[in-house]
Amino acid sequence: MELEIDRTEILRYLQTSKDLEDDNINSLIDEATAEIKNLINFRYLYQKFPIELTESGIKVKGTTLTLKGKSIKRHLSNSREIYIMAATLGSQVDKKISYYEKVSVTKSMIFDACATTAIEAGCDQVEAEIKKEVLAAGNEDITFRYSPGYGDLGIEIQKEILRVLKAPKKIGLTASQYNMLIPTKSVTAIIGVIAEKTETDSDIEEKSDVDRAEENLEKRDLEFEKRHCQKCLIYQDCELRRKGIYCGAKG
Amino acid sequence: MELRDKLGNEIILFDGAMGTVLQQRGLKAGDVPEKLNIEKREEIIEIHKSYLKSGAEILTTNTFGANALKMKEIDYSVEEVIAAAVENARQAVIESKIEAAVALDMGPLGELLEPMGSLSFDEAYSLYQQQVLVGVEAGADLIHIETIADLNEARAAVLAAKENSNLPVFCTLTFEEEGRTFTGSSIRSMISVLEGLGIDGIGLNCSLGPEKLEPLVEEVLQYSKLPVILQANAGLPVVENEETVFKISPAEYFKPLARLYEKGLAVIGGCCGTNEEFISLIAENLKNKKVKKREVISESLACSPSQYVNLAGVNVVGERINPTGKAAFKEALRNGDLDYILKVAVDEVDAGADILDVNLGLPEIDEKKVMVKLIKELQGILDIPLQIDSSNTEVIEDALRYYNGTAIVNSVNGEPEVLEKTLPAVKKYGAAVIGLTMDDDGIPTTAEGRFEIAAKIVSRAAEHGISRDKIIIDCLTLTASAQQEGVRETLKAVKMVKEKLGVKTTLGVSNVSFGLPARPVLNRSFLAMALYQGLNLPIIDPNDVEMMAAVKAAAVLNNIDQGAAQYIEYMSELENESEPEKNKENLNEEIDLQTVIIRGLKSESARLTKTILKEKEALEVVNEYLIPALDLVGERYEKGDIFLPQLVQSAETVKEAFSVLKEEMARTGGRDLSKGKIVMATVKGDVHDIGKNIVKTVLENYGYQIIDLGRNVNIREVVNAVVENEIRLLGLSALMTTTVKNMEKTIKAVRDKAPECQIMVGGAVLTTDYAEMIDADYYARDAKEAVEIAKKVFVE
Repeated sequence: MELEIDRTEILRYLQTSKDLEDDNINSLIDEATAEIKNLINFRYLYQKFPIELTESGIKVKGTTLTLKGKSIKRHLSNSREIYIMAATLGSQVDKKISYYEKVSVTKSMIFDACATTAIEAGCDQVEAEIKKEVLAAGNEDITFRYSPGYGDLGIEIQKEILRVLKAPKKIGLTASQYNMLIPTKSVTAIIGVIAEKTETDSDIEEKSDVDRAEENLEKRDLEFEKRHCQKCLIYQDCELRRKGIYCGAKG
Repeated sequence: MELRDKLGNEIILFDGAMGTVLQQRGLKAGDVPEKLNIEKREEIIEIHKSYLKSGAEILTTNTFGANALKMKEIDYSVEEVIAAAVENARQAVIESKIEAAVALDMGPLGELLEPMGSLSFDEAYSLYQQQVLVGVEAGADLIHIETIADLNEARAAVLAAKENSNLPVFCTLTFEEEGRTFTGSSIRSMISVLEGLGIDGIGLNCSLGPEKLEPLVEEVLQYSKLPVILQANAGLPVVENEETVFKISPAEYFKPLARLYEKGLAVIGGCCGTNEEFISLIAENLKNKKVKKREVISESLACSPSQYVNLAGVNVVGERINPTGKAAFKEALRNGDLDYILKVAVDEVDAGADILDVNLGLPEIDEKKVMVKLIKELQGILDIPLQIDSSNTEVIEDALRYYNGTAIVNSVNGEPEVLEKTLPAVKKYGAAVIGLTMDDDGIPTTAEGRFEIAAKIVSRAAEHGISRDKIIIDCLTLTASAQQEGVRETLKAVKMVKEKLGVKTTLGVSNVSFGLPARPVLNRSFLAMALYQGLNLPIIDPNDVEMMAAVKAAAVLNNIDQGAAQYIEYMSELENESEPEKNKENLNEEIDLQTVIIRGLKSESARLTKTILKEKEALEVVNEYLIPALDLVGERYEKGDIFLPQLVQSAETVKEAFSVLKEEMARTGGRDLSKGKIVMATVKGDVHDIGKNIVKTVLENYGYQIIDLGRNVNIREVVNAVVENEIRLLGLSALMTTTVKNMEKTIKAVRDKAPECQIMVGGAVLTTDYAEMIDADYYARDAKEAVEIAKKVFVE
């Protein structure tokens, strides 16, 4: 799978204007984009599971997994089936980021931003593949990708998710004892299948107006927030979001 | 027949899958199969029995993940699970009355080792050691290490098996179709490293079906002297009706196995998706058949997991990682500034070195500790094989233990005491070794004398089980100005040891010209002569383009570089490299340092600083050029005229200027420019480092000396660095909510031992409140705030 690495996205991760005029930085971005393509060993997998709402959380049938917390419950409120996906760029990308950390911090930042852009692009493609499958089965839509660490869905389930998918064996993706995915440019996510059309989440959209818009607005990504943050339980109080950093949702 | 006798002579049959069979019987995805050893004994025994009936001669215990990390998730201990698993296999043997060996199965730990992950080699070793000890106690007949993707993890497991048991050890890695594991290990490196560690059987398992793995197994059969093992999957799994199924039939599965049997495969079994039908079919056709004889290409490598060098060729060993005669290098070593050394290494690799010699012989440092740390750091960013250069046996032993690959040891000599002390470690870790042709009586003057010592080294090594293809003889370069007649003796000796002993050769080259004018000419000429005599490993400065060119040219003229391909490639790369430099010079001849900093022109920065240094003192350069430029850049960033990457780029440009100033200081012994020492670390568990590195670079710009402990740093290491260096300011970074806990613990430990040290923290998940909660003195939002904090602390 060839990953499209969008320059505008890279600049966004670098907290930089998309019209950046700096020959050095721009050529470093070009070089990094070309170089990373040779290092990416994009591997992914996903699997469909029926779910069941129980007292302890959302039980993923046929597995040991129970998804706990209010935010995932809300996320999957219209779903009776989910897809669990995992994707990684592989370990060579990590090694190269480390390499540039020693050679040039500027390059390492840029390389890191390229890698984040690439894994997001990869996930977009996987999501599109899942969506195609879901629609072909006669469903209406899918939810967005929901990852451990979003809202109150703890990253403690990272290892269990990987185990359910057999991700360590199949794509070489593991989690450390601190539940950091390794290789680091990796994602696990839960996507809900929406069988029938439901009402839009108008109540949530209203909330965005209450937003403290004055803070760090230039660093923030409102489009991203609309897609990923607004349904989050701690949306209003999120310090990270105000800093324009975001939680596990972004690289 | 005993397993060891049969191994390699007659086909040995393993059983098939356990995990996928258990899943078919209803084990949930994500569940821990090892607990069934206790909870569903009968079922496990039944599966074992079905494999025995189908012809398996080795039963694999249901202990793939039975390590302490994974067993945390269930109610049973490693001891209970493994004891029960071995017992179950034994019980199956007893009940079926079919003889079979019981293999203690050890799979990957589930977490990646450093430098990729946060698990240390020692932790990995201990986890495997525990499994081995319990397995031996429970009566396993062999140890089977399988489905490993990281060669270093395989090394930890094999060492744990070898050091804690006398059982035969099998090890199989799991490869992708392209012939690499997920972490990038190649087949050849696997062979070199695992054969070196003295395992009994080697091969592949899992990942793909036998047909896809066939070419990879062929490569193992071609290059490994060991009995070769294959346990393939039943093809690729497909999901049907929400269930994972493997679709190839036993007959299809067997076809490639039959071909591989003809090529010399010795041990066969099944992995995911296989069952007793697969094993039955293999047994019907191959059981007890003689293993086919095969031709093995014998080669001796120096390697990392992903890159190898065949020692029989001509390869350049970079000599720059060595403090001898280098003031700045010594200074960096004393300050624990490994980044300086890493840059030296990167330059050598970029210049075309094939192997890097690593020498840290400086009396005032803890050579062993620094060597181990440097090796880890080097392997974290580079793939080039390393040559461990030390006269201290303990340093060599530790370096070999932690080096992930097959290293070269530099060196032993003809002194019996040195040989006896060093060769056991060389053998144990499968390293290659350099033998210097000298002994207690010094360097013999004649070629014959040196040959004699070389012969002695070869025979002593043989007594330790080290074959001569692992031996590299250094006939020692003498100085032409002092011992002119000796130069020819060296060259003569090179040819003699090469032809008569069949060993490889190495020489340090630049000694030859000492004390004479135009040294490069002599060095090049000597190098060319030595290469003609059969020199394999010239130890030179790869940044010396003329010397590198001489090596490439000699390879053409000696008919080694076929069609001059490598020569042409090297020369064209040289041309390409010199072009961008020209472009920069065209920009503007009169460009000043401030503009250079603002525009982030790193290479210009060093050049201009050197020019200015001719007229100004280092401190003047800092105050009159660097600080004003930095302030300007900072201002522009604040205003939003430039962005973060540009700020960092400028900071790095200033850093270049600083390193010129530092070298000048080290050279002249001038006044220290440092405004204060700050220790910085990314806490245990975090493997992201970029934020901390940005802050570090900017702090350095403002004249602070940073002791950078890197990432994933143990609490103890932080405390030690703070105490040893009497640190007044410590900077810690953490990026995840899960690792902030380690930040808190680190702060507590530092407070205990060094209450006067102030602590600033930063990182994505931190806030002012959070910083206060974990008892930090300061929260630094960004690099600029960190500078303000430093100013405050060091004024007090």
